[in-house]
Amino acid sequence: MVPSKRGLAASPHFEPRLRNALVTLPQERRDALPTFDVIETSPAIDSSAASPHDWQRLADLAKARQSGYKGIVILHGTDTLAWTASSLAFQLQGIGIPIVVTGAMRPLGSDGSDALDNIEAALRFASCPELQEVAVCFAGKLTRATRTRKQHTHALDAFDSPNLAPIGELVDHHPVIKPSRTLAAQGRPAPPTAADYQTLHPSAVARIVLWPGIDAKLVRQWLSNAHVRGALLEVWGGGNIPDDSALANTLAEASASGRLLAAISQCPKGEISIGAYAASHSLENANVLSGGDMTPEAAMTKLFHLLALPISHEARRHRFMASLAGER
Amino acid sequence: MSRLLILYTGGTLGMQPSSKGYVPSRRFAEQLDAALVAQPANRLPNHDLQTLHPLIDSADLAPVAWNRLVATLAEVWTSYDGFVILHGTDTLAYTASALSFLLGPLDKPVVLTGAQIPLGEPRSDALNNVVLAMQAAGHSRAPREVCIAFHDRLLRGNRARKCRTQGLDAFDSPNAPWLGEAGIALRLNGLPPLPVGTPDLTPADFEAGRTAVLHCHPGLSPRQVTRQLDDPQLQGLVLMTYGVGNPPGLDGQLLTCLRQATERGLAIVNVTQCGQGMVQQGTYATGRQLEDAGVIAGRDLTPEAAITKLDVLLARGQRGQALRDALSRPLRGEMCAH
Repeated sequence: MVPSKRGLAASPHFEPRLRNALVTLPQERRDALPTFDVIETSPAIDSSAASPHDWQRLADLAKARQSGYKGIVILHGTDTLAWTASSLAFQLQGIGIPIVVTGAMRPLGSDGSDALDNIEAALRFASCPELQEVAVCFAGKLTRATRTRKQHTHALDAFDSPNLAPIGELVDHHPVIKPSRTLAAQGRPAPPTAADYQTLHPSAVARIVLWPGIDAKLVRQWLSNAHVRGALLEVWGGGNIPDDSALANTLAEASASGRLLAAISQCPKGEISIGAYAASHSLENANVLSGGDMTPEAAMTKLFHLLALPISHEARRHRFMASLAGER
Repeated sequence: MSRLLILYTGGTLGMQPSSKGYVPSRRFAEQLDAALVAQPANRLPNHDLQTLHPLIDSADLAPVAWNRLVATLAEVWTSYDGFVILHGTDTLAYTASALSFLLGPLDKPVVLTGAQIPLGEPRSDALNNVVLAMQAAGHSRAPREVCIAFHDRLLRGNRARKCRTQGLDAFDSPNAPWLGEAGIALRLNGLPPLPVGTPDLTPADFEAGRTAVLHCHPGLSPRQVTRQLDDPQLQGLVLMTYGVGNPPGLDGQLLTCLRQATERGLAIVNVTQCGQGMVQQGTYATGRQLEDAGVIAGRDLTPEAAITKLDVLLARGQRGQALRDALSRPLRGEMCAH
């Protein structure tokens, strides 16, 4: 990003600035870096404007280039970094090389910028062959893409993996991977059998976050949109929704009309369990799937991924409940 | 010694297992009484226990139920020195925030608590939390405000969130220091007190559909946003944005939509989806445009505080510039000042 009259705006011609910055690292750290090529997406994506189509384009780019490289680093704005990284993890299931997504809280070259540190770390992690998954590298931590969230608005250590310990960390400028925490160690899943994605409407998945007093009419409006084929409900605490028969009916109807519905908690840590309290029975009755301890980013991008695959509704429900990219 | 009212409103604390999952226990008042009587004599503040009829399930708590709590407090406010409200955990932070705005300045402490495991179940945290809440409410220097006491923490109610579904340390206040912490003793952190005053114990005029929350996400449908904002009933919106307060561009459609809505008088508060930190409009190109569109920066408000503040202000009849001003500054310590 570079300063503009309207605040920070995405800047083109990043590569020369990046290479000039890397030259300023101490010799020893420079020598430890892998050689790399730079591809700039055109036009650059403003992170807050990233759409599901951008996710698909990035995944296609990674697939097309993976055979020529030992690893791929993706530089992305922080606002929707966790969304893009999660989506890539589902689209690139079974990939045999590291895909490391990073960004910066302060632009490269600005005072106290974290950009160079993060890129250096990402390049080093992307050279670790034992890492065979999509991960996020930020502030010296490596976290699984599907577990990562942007937790802080300003701190340089902005990303967190609330329900899974980091899979690696930078120690004295050296990347250390915790072998037992990688997907490779846990049995890297096979790539999706039907890789041909159907074209999905970018708004095919609705996100419905409950609040006290939410009107069932509004939920109906969200769910009844013709292009909406699935929805993520973010419910209270351990898995509760308002005891409102209109809401229960709305969810049941949406489910009956073939929409893929799932629920997670609004609490950042912990999982929901549908059915533990009487108040969560309407979720069960409406066939709403439990998202377990998934992040909203992982749950939403997983719904997108499953809806774009040419598979049956039952197969989608089945796969949602499984861990496809270590997301639950 | 101070005299407290313990008001049992429902929640896990007073539940028992059944074939349908946890359901409210009929014997809870008896059980709690027995548990408190078993504590060493004269070590806890004197108290009466009252049960709200019918009980509120934390999950079916709508703004209307907040009025029931206010009405109950109105009946007993002068008879006690402090109040402990036992409540379900799932919407506890919403209720605490709402009460803080409904009651306004207080001259007595109101401490909410609950439990992750019902009283009487193995490893239950219920008694510990109730005793902590009683000690906090009975403390000679108890904060005169709506607090949450949970798992050895005393939190400002409108700063608290339920952060864990499973952990017994379920509540935290990510953007504000704790009011106190209980180790061997309950230590209050001596934060600057909020203004003290006589609470407003009148019911507020809540109306369904007047407020809404909109969570941004990649793929958010501009058409859906337009439909939602065009609803003539809607008067306030909490816009949950990325990072420091950036909404998705939606090819310019979202901004147009937001500007038209604020011009029509809709109050829009910008709150971050990040668990910690602060909305600052104007850092990025996208955020600057929000400022121009009349969107109010919610700074470090929690989502719970933002929606309940909007609900209560509208229900108390605030409109127009007065409403916008009230949303831009802290009323009960819920956000940092400019």
